[in-house]
Amino acid sequence: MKKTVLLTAMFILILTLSACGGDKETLYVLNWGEYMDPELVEQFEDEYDVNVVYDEVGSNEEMEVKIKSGTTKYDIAFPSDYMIDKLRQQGLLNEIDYDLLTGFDDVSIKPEVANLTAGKGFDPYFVPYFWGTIGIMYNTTTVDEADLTGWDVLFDPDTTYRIGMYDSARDAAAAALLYLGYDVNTDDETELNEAETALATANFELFGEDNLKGLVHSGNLDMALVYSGDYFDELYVAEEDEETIEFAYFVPETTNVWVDGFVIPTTSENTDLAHDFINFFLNEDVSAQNADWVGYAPVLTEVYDLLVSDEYGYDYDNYDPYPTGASRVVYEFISDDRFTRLNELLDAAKGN
Amino acid sequence: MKHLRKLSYPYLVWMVLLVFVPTLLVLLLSVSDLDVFNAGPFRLTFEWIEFLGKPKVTNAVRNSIYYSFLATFFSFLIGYPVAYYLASLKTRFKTFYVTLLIIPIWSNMLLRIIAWEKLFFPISILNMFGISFDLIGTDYAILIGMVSMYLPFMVLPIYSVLEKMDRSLVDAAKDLGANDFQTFYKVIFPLSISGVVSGTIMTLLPAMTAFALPERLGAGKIQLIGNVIEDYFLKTNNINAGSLISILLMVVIVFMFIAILRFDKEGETLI
Repeated sequence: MKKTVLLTAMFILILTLSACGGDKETLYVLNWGEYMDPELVEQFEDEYDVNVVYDEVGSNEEMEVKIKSGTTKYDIAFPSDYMIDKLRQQGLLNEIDYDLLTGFDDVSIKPEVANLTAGKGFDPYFVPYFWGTIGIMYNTTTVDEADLTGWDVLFDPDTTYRIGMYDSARDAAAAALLYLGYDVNTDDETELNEAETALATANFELFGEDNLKGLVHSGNLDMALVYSGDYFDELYVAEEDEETIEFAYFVPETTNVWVDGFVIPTTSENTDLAHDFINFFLNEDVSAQNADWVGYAPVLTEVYDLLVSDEYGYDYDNYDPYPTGASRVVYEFISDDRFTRLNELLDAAKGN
Repeated sequence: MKHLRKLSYPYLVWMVLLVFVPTLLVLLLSVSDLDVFNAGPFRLTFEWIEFLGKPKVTNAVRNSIYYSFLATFFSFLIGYPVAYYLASLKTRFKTFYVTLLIIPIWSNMLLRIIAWEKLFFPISILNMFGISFDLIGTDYAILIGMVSMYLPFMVLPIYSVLEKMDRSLVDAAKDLGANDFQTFYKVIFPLSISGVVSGTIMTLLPAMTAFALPERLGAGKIQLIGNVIEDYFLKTNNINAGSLISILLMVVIVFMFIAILRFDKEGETLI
């Protein structure tokens, strides 16, 4: 008897719980880990009286698979440049309706960001979210800054430095191509072969991902290829712990700059709400709070100026991914075959 | 008894849905050009076999065999005496000692791997004792990691066989004039062979298919067959080729279990 009562009670409880919010609209968001202030997501839910279902992934390729498989009908996702291009080429993205983005009345995208992708075909399919560079994080106690002349410091076969390389085909290949002075998007067989040789003859101590920043910080590596975000993560944590900072971030003259953007997949069943979501993040205060929480460089001129001002104090070296006079290139999606080839380059670097 | 059988149905459903069906799918992927994320018409093909000749795969197979055999060999060298010692203990703390051996398995394996990783870097907590290793990316790191990870799988089957062995056989051998060494290799060792076979395979299998361990302790450079499968599935989108390798690996594992069952017909050494 007691059991029946208990079971019925639980059943009713589950029914009422699942009934909650049943008539609210739902927005499905697919994002990277720690890439949006959760407080702001709640604020959006309250302001628009909607539910936000928020999923996280660790790579662009995972994001692609999730959008393609369509098991969750995502309304918003945040892929990077080349993946936006690839998704667009597969017809998986809706064009952004700029008429619905009234937020742009008060703010504007930094011209450097806008110019990166201007005229590239996938431009109408995304609104920039954050951007950054790839560069060399190094330990200031063990690395002589006079050696940091460019990408060549990573590729000296007789180097005495302990060098870490990103375990990502696209970025490792880009570093090699930049070192050789080629375009990061090249599909030229001889250029790729040269990059393969450069990677194979270089002397990499370790291949890692987000563990590289900690290894440079501790001194177990002297330098490593990292994303600007890796470096700033490590910097903010070290500052919070009031450590003496013994690492820095060197960005060679020409480097890759990545842009992640809001996209609206064709699976979206609520594109209006998706546009509202983008609009919400175009608000200057919201965007500033978000940039402060995430730590990457914001793409909106007004927000960027606010963050580097004394109020927020983000006037760090290399916080600006694209200072005047520098040269920046953005990844494009070329073909699946090329991506396979890039992975062969990475395998060559590992000695396989 | 009959109505108890119904209780096993949920498990059967579970096995069919989450083990049998996925295995069939992997098998299908390995011999067809089915695009799993964009399912549509497909044709049967054996084109994925050419992946087996790629240096990435042949290197990984060689690494898998090299590291797993060495790790198993060292586990045996260390494990047999430990099992023998534990089995011959006459104290009431016997269970306690065996538990001590098992306790490490209760902690998450990834945590143990990361713990080794931290110790193997030149700058580590060991520096305060004046010790500094630089082993990440070397054979030593992988072998120490593997032996520490899988040693209990070698010890326990041997222990369970030696424990049940009739001690009077040892006395008989001695009565008949065998010295300690002869007793061991003519009586004790042959009686424990089923445990040795089980222990060997129980160590060989996880060592051969390890992927987190070589990735963390091998500086991202040393790839075992598990890493290749991971790369093919998650990084380079060669899911069909990855499936083929997985299936071949399964075949190897099945053969190894057949080997165990030949030596140990009741399966008493399987934990």
